[in-house]
Amino acid sequence: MIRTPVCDLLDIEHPIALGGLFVMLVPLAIYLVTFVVAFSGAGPRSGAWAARISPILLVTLGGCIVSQTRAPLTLIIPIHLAAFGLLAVQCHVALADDRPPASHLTEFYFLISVGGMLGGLFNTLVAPVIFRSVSEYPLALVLACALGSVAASVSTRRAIVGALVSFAAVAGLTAAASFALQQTGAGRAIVLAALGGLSIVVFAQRRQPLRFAASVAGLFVGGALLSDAAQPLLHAERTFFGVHRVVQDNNNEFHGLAHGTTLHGMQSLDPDRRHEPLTYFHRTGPFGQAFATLPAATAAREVAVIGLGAGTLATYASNPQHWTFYEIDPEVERIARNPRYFTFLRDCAPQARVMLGDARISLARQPDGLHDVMIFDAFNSDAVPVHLLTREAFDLYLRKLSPRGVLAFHISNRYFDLRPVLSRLARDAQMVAYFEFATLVSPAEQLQGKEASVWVIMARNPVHSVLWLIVAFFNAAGLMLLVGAEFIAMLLVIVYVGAVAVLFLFVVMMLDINLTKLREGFLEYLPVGVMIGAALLAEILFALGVLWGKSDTMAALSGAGPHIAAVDNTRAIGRVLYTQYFYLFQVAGVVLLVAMIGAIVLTLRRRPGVRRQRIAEQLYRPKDQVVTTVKVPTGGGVS
Amino acid sequence: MIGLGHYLGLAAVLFTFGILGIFLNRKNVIVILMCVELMLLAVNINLVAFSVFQGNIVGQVFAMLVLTVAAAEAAIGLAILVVFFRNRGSIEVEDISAMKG
Repeated sequence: MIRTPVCDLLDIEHPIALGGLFVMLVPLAIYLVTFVVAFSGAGPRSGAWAARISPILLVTLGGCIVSQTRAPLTLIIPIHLAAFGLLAVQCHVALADDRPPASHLTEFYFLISVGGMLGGLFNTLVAPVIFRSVSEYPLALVLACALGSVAASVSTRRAIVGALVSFAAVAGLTAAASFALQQTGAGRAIVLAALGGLSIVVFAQRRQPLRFAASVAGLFVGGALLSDAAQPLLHAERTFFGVHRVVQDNNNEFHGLAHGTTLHGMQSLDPDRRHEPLTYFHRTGPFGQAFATLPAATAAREVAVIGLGAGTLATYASNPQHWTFYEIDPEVERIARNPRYFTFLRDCAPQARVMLGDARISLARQPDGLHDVMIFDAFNSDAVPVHLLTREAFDLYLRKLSPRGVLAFHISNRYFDLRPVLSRLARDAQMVAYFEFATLVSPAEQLQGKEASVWVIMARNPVHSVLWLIVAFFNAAGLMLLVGAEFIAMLLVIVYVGAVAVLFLFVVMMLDINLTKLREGFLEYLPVGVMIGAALLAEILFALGVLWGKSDTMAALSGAGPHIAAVDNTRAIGRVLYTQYFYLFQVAGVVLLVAMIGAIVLTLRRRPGVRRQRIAEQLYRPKDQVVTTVKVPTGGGVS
Repeated sequence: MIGLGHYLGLAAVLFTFGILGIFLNRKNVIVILMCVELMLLAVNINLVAFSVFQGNIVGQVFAMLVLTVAAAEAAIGLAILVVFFRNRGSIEVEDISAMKG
């Protein structure tokens, strides 16, 4: 199996993203607050406190990264933020201590701003070019640790040598420990204990800033080294949208595409299994089952995939279909089209188009009702593109979806449960949504490249009106029950809800009806219809109103009010039904019989070539037509 | 106090909805059939309400017969619909008028 690399701490994949926003805004706020604290009267004191606590956090952080602990995000993010904030306090306190006299303060603050600008430029322009992964963050942490030594100017040759030695030692030990952690499952506790010991050793060096910084760097580098060593890295590219890595697993069976810490697709190197969809798209997984059975998918002409990844979904393409991939990052397309890494696109869907750019913008340019199936595979990383999950986005999808089209969402995610979001959206758009939470994947299947996945399938719902009809029947039954006609109320539930409404449901689902087309022209007749309806209702109610006006007539009609009969309702009906109205009852039975026979005769289909058992024919065959007696000569066999 | 008038009013509204549905939905036969069911339900409510308030059980016997006819009508109607859909691939009312020949 391919493991995803560990050296990314928190990466930002999309600028307009839930995680991204959080990752950007909260640290910025903390950074600004540290400025305020450092330059206030409490500066020196808080600096001393920060210097005392930050080593603990840094070592914890290093431990987390090396041991691949990502589990409680609510714990790890605060550790990151606290370590960052405390280091910022230390740096800013050092800065505040260096404050020149008031006459030079303008230049001082100006130079601070220039420094901030240079840092920003480095992070946005230089770092993506020179680093393959998000290395500037650990780098900044290490440099901030080393700051104390610069301030105390203890950078003697001995200190530097000591630092280098401890760097090498810690990096080596860390790499060894995490290698052991990945290789042996059993000795996990021992290895973790060893890591803890190592952390304590690093922590003990906190009084010598240079050596401490070097040791922390050793922790980070050791962890990163190992992730590269454990999985041969074929390609790594950092773009505006994050870090893409193409890795090969240890047994040289698979190529995998990882984005940040998330695996996005895998391809087997075995020529026989080259065109098999793996990971979340496995043919036995939720998507594979849905795509094989849904009529909308099997008969689809135009398929859209939002989020290309390694191009795994191209394996589902069959010949007359036309596939369009929407992808925001050009680098992903380069990787997916590079035959040294992945060949899904080249082999399975050579005519498939890849539209680069934001999916919403590209989709808006397409003709309405184009796509029969739209597969969304963009919600798996730790930064979810929320602009693809808004009501407006859904309106767009529904416009671009053909009348019988299906939306499929791949929402396997380590941190977010998107099911509530999608169910609300589906309710808003009056669609039916089904999800499958396929997390049970056996180790054998996992070795074959299958991964657990969560999928949501949505389609337009054709049966709302039938369900409302059932509600109306139930209400009427309730009213009849209240007024004392229990038998009719029960009949209503049994006959209408149990039989007629179910019959309607069956027919609605059986016939593959294009409902949007049927709804066309609805508004055209609305004014006339409403007028006629209003006139009719007014007439009836007017008649009733006149009755109400004449209280004696109404009283005569109402009789003595709902009277309680001496016998119960069912018995009373039975007494009349089987005596006075017996023939009518029989006729009702005949009506039902005729309806039944009629329905069967109408829908009975005689297909040629179907072998049926004709019992009468079988029974009437005479013996001599069926059995023949043959005299077989000895050793001659039957000719 | 809920009286006969309230039941009659409700039945009138339901009946009007049925008529309105048939008027507005000029294309979908299934919805038209459902509207017919709704109108029959309104009739049933009237029959039962009169029966109860007048203390005459015969109204409920007739409601049962209406129910029978409604069920038979739904079965036959849907069967015709299925056959029609099988032959024409659509259930639009405009297509059905083409049966005049």
